[in-house]
Amino acid sequence: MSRDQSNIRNFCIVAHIDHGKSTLADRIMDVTGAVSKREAKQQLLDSMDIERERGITIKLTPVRMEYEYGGKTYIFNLIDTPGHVDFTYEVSRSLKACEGAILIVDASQGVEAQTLTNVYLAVDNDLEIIPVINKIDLPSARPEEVKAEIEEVIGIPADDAPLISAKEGVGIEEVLAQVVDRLPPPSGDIDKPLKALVFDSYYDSYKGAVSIVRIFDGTVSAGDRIMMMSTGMQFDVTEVGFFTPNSRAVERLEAGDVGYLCASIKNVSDTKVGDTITSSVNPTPEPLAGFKEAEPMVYSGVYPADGAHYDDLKDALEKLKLNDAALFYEPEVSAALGFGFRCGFLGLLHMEIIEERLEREFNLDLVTTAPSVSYRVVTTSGETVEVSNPTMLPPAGQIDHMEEPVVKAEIFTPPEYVGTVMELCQDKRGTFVNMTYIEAKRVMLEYEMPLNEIIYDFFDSLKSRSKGYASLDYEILGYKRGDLVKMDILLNGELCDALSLIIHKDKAYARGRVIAEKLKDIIPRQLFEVPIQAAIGGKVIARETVKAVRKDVLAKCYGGDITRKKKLLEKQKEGKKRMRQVGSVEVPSEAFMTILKFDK
Amino acid sequence: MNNSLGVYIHIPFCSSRCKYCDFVSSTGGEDAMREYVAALKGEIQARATDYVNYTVDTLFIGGGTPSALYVGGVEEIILHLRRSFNCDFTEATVECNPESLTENKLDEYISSGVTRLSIGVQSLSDNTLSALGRRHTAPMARQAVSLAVESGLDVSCDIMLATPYQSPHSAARDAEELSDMGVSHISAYMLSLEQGTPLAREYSCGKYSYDDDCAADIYQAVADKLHEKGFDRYEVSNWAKEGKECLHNLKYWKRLPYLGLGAAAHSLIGNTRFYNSHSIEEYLEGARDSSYPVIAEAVLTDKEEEEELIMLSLRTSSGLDTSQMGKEGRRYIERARRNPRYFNTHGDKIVVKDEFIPVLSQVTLLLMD
Repeated sequence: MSRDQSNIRNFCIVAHIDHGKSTLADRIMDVTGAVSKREAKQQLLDSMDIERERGITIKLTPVRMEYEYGGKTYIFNLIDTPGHVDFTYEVSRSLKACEGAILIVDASQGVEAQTLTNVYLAVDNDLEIIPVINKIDLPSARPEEVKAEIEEVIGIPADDAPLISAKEGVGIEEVLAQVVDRLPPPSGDIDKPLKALVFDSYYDSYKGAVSIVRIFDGTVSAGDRIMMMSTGMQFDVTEVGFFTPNSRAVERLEAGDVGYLCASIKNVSDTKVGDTITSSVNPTPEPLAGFKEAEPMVYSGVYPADGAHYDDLKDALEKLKLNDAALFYEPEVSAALGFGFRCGFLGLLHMEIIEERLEREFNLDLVTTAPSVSYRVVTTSGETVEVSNPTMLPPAGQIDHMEEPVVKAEIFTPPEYVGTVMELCQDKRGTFVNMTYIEAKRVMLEYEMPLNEIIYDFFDSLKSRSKGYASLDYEILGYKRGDLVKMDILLNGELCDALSLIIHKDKAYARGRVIAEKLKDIIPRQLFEVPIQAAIGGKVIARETVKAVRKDVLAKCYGGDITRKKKLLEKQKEGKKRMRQVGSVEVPSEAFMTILKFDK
Repeated sequence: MNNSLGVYIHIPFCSSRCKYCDFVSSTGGEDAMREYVAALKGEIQARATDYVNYTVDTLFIGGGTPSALYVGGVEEIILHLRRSFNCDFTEATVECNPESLTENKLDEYISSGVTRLSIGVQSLSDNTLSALGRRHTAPMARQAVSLAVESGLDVSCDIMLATPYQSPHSAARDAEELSDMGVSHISAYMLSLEQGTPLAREYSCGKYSYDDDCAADIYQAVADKLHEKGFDRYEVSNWAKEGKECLHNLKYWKRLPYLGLGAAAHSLIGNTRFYNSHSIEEYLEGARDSSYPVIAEAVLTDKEEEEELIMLSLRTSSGLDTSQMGKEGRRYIERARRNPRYFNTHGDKIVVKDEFIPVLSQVTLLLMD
């Protein structure tokens, strides 16, 4: 009883962050009756607090819906995509699972950096694109101009673009009609060997790692033996099904379907995003193209604030890793911070999300070190070493040169901020590539820029310099030789390993000064004077001093009431416990984060 | 054999509230005072049965402002105490404020057996006094101090450090002047800005500014001046001529037994700390039904006792006698020896070095676990 593929529409929604992707998705589910409104709130949005609070989608949840149109019942598989640059690879994988995409553009903001990135991804994947103009209920909406922008910048016709307000539920039916009329149905061959794309996975404590798949050819049922083509690992399928959005087991999945597959897979990392699943009995000769291992781009040391919680942190990372194959971690020891982990992330947002989840969901108090990229060090003996932790850098004498990752950055900004944005890019060692006037009010700047400069505070600076209007996207170009040095921070003459960082030589002096000044404000006065020095090699480039403390509170003790004094001492004792001992100096945990933000 | 007991009696009345004060006090009139004194007498009587094996050798009547009490009030209280407890005062102190200390009251105190007056001078500068919201002026303070000194009683003065308009020089000058007037004991406390007090608000809105280093300079200037004048710092905030230390206050630092009577009064008997309600209303209620409830009672663990002993005795110039701590004592001696920059050790004793007394809490933490 195979289904008619011509009734299936697999599509996703792509948009710049905040342009209303999740709202439209919710609205489509309302209209198709996939979930009641109340359920929608609880089930869809509760999945991850952080997603809701930040208004972003991290995990991809495909939802299967039925839609009556023109007397026929269609099956819609809506595949949500993450809207952030850190997750570009995930976006590209989920786009592969679709035949079409709804492109949402905000009626007042117009085309933004990620709109473009995602559209390019959609075009690369040969998707049919339906442009939709959202938020037409806002007074600042300028739909006609935005239509023109879409045609000019993206180069797709936007004349018939539905004008909608996902928030108000306006225009949704028209969007769905276009999905049926304009998007092609899938065209796989049910009789060919199984060929399924894994475009997401998650960990379920009962079912193990669950793969979310798009079946391109063939069928798969419980009891089948399958093979992961990137690793050759084989598993027995225990269950297949759809999300409606609750998981619903079915007998089998067929070419054209989007659904899930369980096969007693223990680790999410064994069902890699982008991998092809086939039948181990009758394998397909060719996997789907474009599989990539998730590669961390940003690294940071993550330590428990209280050393006694090392095992808790380890457990928490293991649990998160179950659900997040892109998270990388390995044990690391710091003289200042004790036992912890060096973690690798897809980008800064991914890092923030993981750290926030560790703190929130696992109740951990963390100390994290400044994020670093992974450098390539070519030694004098000709070896190439990857270094993501500044303290692991070989001695200066053994370094022939160093290379750092560079990105192509695309920045969209209103023309009045071009000057200040260019100044910022220049300041961040950017190399100008191109500037395009998209229309009278929008300029696209292209820069080649070291990733190292972007991961500190580039995004925040960009937003503040452009009053929030500029948007950024970037992709990794590769490695480039750079004049990089390791800067150390010494407290009372002792090296604090957790504060070391790798930095461009020209930036070292200024950054060293700022860090020393910040540390001076953050490190409390102690019983002795604490010199703070920033040094490159043996050379001190900046110095500040935390003066010795000279007085405690010497308040009156009324009538033998020593409770206040006890409380005060207790408080000081607690405060002391939260400090990290660097040699003889007590350093508050925040100090390790100060070098994150150094813009004045 | 009788144990010695310190008694603290709290008089929660003031003629007005000072701008820095968040302590229990009321500006009630004579009726309120009489009701309170009656309650106090009731409490004295009620508690006395538990202390038949004790002799009260030190008494401290503090406040509030005991001298703000109606004439005869202090006498009434002391008389009642003598009737209910075994009393043999080595020292009996009454706290006074310059504006309410009169010759009449002085006579009353002397005839009741008071040996010592503690006068809340705070400052000898009118600017400072008015910024603090004190009711007296500098001339009134001088007059009260000479009156007290002339009476032949031991006189102690409280002065406040790091107050508005104060400099290291002016603070030292105040200390010097008091010493020259014949005061034999000085308590110098740092102003602490308690949340919610008018003065704290004035600081936070920028009327005055507070600087830790300047406060440290002021403290040091006063310490140096008093040293020059022949005073010994026997406790962080207390200086005395030889033999004029406040024996009652020393009990707080040495963890000797003391019983607090009246609202908000705290006690330490053996290893138990307890205190009366901080609310005058609640205290009076307890008197009405003669229940005199203690608000909180804590039996200290050995560890807590040990920490208290460290924290309190390091405040004194005689320091921490670790021989009192049994086996544990060795650990502390060793810790102190490992930090010779901060501690002197003599046999079983640990004393904080003079120059680190102003940062005593931080130094204390070096000894603690």
